[in-house]
Amino acid sequence: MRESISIVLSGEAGQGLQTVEEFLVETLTQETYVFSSKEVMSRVRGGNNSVEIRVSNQPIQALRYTIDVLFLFNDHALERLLPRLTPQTIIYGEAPFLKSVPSQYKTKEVAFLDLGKQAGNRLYENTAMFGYIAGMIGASVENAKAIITKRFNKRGEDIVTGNLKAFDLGYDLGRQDPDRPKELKPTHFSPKKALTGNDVLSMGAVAGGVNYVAAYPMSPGTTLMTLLEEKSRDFEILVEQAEDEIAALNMVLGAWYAGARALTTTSGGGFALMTEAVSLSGITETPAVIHVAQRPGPATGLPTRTEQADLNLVLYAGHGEFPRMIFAPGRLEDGVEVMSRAFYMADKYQIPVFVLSDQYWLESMSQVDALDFNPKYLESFVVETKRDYQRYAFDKSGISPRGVPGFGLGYVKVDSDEHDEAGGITESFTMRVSMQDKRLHKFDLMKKDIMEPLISGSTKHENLVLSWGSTYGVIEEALDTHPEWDLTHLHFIQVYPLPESLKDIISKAKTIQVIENNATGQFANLIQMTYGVKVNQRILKYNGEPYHIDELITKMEATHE
Amino acid sequence: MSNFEFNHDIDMAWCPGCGNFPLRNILIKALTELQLDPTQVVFSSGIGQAAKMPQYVDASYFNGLHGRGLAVASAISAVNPKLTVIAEGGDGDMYGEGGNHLIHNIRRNPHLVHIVHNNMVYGLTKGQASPTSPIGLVTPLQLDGVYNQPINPMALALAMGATFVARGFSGDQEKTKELIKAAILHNGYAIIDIFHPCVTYNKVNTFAWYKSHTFWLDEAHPKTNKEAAMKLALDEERLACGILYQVEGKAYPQRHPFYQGNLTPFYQRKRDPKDIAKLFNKPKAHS
Ligand SMILES: Cc1ncc(C[n+]2csc(CCOP(=O)(O)OP(=O)(O)O)c2C)c(N)n1
Repeated sequence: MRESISIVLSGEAGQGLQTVEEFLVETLTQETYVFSSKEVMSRVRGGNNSVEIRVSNQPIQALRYTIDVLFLFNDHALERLLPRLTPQTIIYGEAPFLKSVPSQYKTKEVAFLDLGKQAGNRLYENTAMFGYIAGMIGASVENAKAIITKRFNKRGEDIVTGNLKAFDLGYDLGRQDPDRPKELKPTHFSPKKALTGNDVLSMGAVAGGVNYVAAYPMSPGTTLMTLLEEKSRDFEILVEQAEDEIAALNMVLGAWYAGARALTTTSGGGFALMTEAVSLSGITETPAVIHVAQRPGPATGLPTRTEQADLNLVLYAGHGEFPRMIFAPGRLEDGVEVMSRAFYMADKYQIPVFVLSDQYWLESMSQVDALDFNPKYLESFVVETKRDYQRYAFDKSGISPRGVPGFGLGYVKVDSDEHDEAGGITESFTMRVSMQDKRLHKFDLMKKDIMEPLISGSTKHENLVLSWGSTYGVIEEALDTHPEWDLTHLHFIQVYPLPESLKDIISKAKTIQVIENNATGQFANLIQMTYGVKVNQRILKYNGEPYHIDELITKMEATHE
Repeated sequence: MSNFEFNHDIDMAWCPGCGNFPLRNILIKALTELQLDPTQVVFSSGIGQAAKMPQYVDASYFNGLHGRGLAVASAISAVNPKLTVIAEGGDGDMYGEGGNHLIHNIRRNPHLVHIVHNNMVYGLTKGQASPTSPIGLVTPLQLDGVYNQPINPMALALAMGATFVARGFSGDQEKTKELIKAAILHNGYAIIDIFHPCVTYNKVNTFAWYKSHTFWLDEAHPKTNKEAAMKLALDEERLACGILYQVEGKAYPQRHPFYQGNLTPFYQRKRDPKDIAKLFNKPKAHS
């Protein structure tokens, strides 16, 4: 039977929540199924942030609203979490932190600070807490200690020994805790790697050949740029902070034009500034890879929160008509696949390709056994030019071979005005139609490269649940625990263009339900438009949080009454 | 090797008598005299009458969006530092819509030449004020005359730390051509603001006006002296032409830690699929 416990750490930014999270997840991922995600306020210090770590005996990639075990890092860490408590929740913390807990809840005082001091330094208190939690849930001591040692090795032997001691002190107490939760160990388990969405996107970019990045910081899109900067020495990547997003995408286009594989990363607001350059990519047939990390809008919205409300923006950005592709990773491994594929498709079809993620997906940690890097995605479509090269030649293949300046004897003339085959400005109506037809014909060519959705659940295909991007894990868990709903789940990793092959399933279905993390059902609208069907039900959430499993089940149950 | 000229007639979209014609001659002469290989020369331009220049010079170009020529050029030269990259456009394009890129590319110091055709008016959109229009200039949109302070591109470039700052005039072809050559040979960002008359829309800053308001710097001008250069740049009565300022500096490829002295164009840099496997080590238990 599927079981899980949810452990929540709550405190201020800078208090070490993330360290405890990383210690725990890195330890647990070697022995069981684990998923973690944080929610933070838009400020540098203070406020209240929390991390949820869910441990299970089955694969897991979703949060739960109600909390089993809560650790408070200060005296004002509880208030925002009160609605998530149940009579079974146990709240841990130093005595003064527990004072504000309403009397109906169970509390347990643990003096983590004293444990730290006992081990030699008050700074070890977080390691003591890690030890306590590890003890409670029966994590492997060896694994935990190896991680502590690795983390502190550089800082000297004393610090390693001190932290290990703090861990032991915490562990022993946790082990003896009479209220500790039942241990959840799967019968068969091979160690896994826990990574964030940002991690896998950065790997995917490298595997797609990225060698130039221009971007302007905007949460939650910035981390990808930072991770690529960290990889820049090993993989020869030029990373440049642009003066604004307008420059960023124009630079990315200049870079592709000159022979790079370039990426920009931003969030909805920054992407809004890029839209003219998206259109430039369209008419000049210059490839571009654009990562849009969604957060709730309009405008500045909720800067550190999550939403899936920029599908329409990305789908329609840019004046005029031209082809594009949009991917939205769901599972962790999808991040590698779509990001590296994005470079390949951009190069192959000479179009802008989008990777549309969101704060929740990017910053959560989940598990993989292995990651596949498809070497095909490094293949370049650039040709060496001949003396009479014409950038926009009407080629049999339907796509004009793309040269880069300086490589070959030809000139590469690229134009944002409507142009002739040589790339010169034209106002000929016939040439306009021929060029527009050539560009739009790529929609047909792209059909053979469209990714099919992931299909799971009932094989009857009568009642469909459709979703895209980061909601994969939570919907899978809901369906897995409710086979009686008899639902078939279609999860889209490529959200545009959509595959024609699904027309049959979708048009024959009795009911179609679409689940999205936005207020209007943007993907549902796209489904209706593409397949000419009516979506019967939209399950939507737009308060800035991702879906929680318990909440989603309640919402879905309501539709089955 | 061709000489940047076409072997067929071209139809140029400029008005008869436009200052862009002599500028085109100068540009082609400068490139030819430097014996540059046209396959190694790339123009990057935005939109405007001036920005059409690359259409009429036979070499590679990226004719992008209004105002964005410099951003694109900066990336082209980063990705292939061996190319001669020229960003070219009008005063509206480069100082108005593209103003932010101007400021920040001076900081970046990419290895490229920035040529701005300064006719003090928007030509292509039919005569509105540009960022360099003088106060009082009456236009179809500024019916009572321009009331905003014009920008001073030379003083701005100097203040921002540009290492090559020059002004030319399309009426003085030989001298302006030499400026272009010097800019191409300069290591790093080189800006040349080139005065030229808009015969259709600017009836104030005419050929005669430029002739009488400009003078050329001679050998005596200490071009490595920033104060002297700034003094000249700030003099809006007598407009100095020539290289106001030029010093050696580290250009982008010498500044950015990426290069480490390796200027190999990106199209020749291949990533080995074997290296990619290094991204992910199969997980195994510590114990
Ligand atoms: C984003 C955008 N805004 C406005 C325009 C319209 N536009 C085209 S050229 C131009 C200004 C032209 O003036 P300038 O750059 O000085 O060049 P000139 O035509 O005088 O040579 C404008 C406003 C445009 N093409 N794109």
